[in-house]
Amino acid sequence: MRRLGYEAILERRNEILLGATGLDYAAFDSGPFSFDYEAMLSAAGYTYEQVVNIQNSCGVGHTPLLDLPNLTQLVRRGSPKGRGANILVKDEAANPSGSFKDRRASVSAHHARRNGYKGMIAATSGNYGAAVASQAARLGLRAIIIQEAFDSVGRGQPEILEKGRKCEVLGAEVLQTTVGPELFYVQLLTLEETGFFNASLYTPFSILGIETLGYEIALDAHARYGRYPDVVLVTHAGGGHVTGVARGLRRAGAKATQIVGVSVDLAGLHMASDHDFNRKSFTTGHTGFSIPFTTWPDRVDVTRNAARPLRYLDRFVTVTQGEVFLATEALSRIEGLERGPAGNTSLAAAMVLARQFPEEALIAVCETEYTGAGKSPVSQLEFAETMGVEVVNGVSADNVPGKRIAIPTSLEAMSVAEVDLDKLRSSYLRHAHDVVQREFQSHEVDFLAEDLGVSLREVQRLIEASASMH
Amino acid sequence: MLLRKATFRPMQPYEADHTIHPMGTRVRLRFTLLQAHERAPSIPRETAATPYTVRVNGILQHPSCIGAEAMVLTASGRQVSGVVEEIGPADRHTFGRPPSALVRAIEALHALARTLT
Repeated sequence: MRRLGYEAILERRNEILLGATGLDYAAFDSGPFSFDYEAMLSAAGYTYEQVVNIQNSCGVGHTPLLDLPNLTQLVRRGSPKGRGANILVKDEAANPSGSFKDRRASVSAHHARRNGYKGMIAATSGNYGAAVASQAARLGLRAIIIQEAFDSVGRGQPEILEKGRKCEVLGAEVLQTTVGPELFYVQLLTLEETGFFNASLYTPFSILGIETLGYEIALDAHARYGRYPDVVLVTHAGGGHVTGVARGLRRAGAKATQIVGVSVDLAGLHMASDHDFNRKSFTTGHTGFSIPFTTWPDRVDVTRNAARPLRYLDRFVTVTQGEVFLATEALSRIEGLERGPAGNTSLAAAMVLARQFPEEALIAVCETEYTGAGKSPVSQLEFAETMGVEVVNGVSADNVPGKRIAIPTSLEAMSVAEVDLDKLRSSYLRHAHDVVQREFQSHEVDFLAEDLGVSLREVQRLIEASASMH
Repeated sequence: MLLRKATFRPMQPYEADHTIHPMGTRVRLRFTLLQAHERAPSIPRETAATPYTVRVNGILQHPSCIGAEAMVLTASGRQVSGVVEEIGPADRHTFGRPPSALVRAIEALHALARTLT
């Protein structure tokens, strides 16, 4: 009889994952951390055109790129003369399960069915679970979603509960766990038991599915304005969104478009803390994911993560929970679009960054998401107050994650905080060094330059600076 | 089959309702997957002090009642055992009551927006 304890299952990790994705990641390895990234993506076996066909067959994609004229006017009112870029948003809520995650799930579901898997399993806080459930239902596959949902006394944050409800409505079994990294253990245990496909957020299938989003943004903007967006704002968590959108923009020819990652600042909250778990109002798109996943992508539920954000990020900023809630309310009241808050993380940043660009510039926000009870800012803030989090009016600096949410009363009271990409690169290098415990070899330096999105000369400088700190 | 012994001890007493519900009733189960001492290393102390539990909804495979060990058939077709936590589990999250700070913020922004149109 196979042992099912925590350590026994973790020991069988590679064997379980190989069977659950069909991808032999070792075939692309060139060292302990380096690998052939493009070869790995190609090995998934889908061209861009095939991905488009898959998504066309299930109603995914081709969402409208909407102008936000009223918010743009509001931004211009508070900007120096001639400043205030046009803000556009890709209305990804129009996808079948209500978010851009359908793009990721569609390719995984197609691949799972084509390869004879009976079902799919995903560990996710939510929208992706709904997407997997939706695509599985359409293709006649079973779905199991594993969701970190409750603290140890059984309290669940309303956004998570809503996303769990949605997964069930779309036909999935939802395993709702208490707080902890053992989510991965549940995933491995369930994959081994069922033989289902591992619909991880981080496989090549998932990333290839997002490329269509970047591609559509580029072409839609060009068709309407005769130019590609100057900036695309991408809500950044695990890195797949940034990676896929950036690749799609490049594929469409928008090579000069600046890619800006945006996360909600949750500094100081521990993601595995039973105490902190319900004191955050965002379950994704926050720094609790984006910082660790950017500084070491291969900490995920597949052997090699296909989401490599530092390859593509030109800039990375954070916003506060209060700012995103205001952006969400503004989108409803001022533009007539009631959408979920997590998708509006980038919109909050757009309301700030648009002031820095001339009026003719285009700033595209990557996504909206569906909303409903549990997701609405009202529901989230009411829950936060019951958890002892103070909800006040104020500026960014007044926010203290887990203790106080400050909602600005004007656009001028909103701001973004820059994340130093070089610091993240240096952290990545320290992780890589911990893996090899020696000087990097020449081919590893080449890989590092690619994976950190810098030149060879620049990566050498970062390596030397990092070594001098040891 | 993911069969687990129902080792969960409720934090608070279950409702004092021992009504037996028939096979085919939709219920919510809870089971302990890892005891506190079996948990992953390097997790915060307050998390490590608690067992790792899982909740799942499914259809009762035999008559049962709240607080009893039972087996359900889940939406993916698996049989799972645990303690019955709720009969006919409901979604209770709501739109909530708007906090005054949010009302003040959006009213101010909306008033300004109206002056521009």
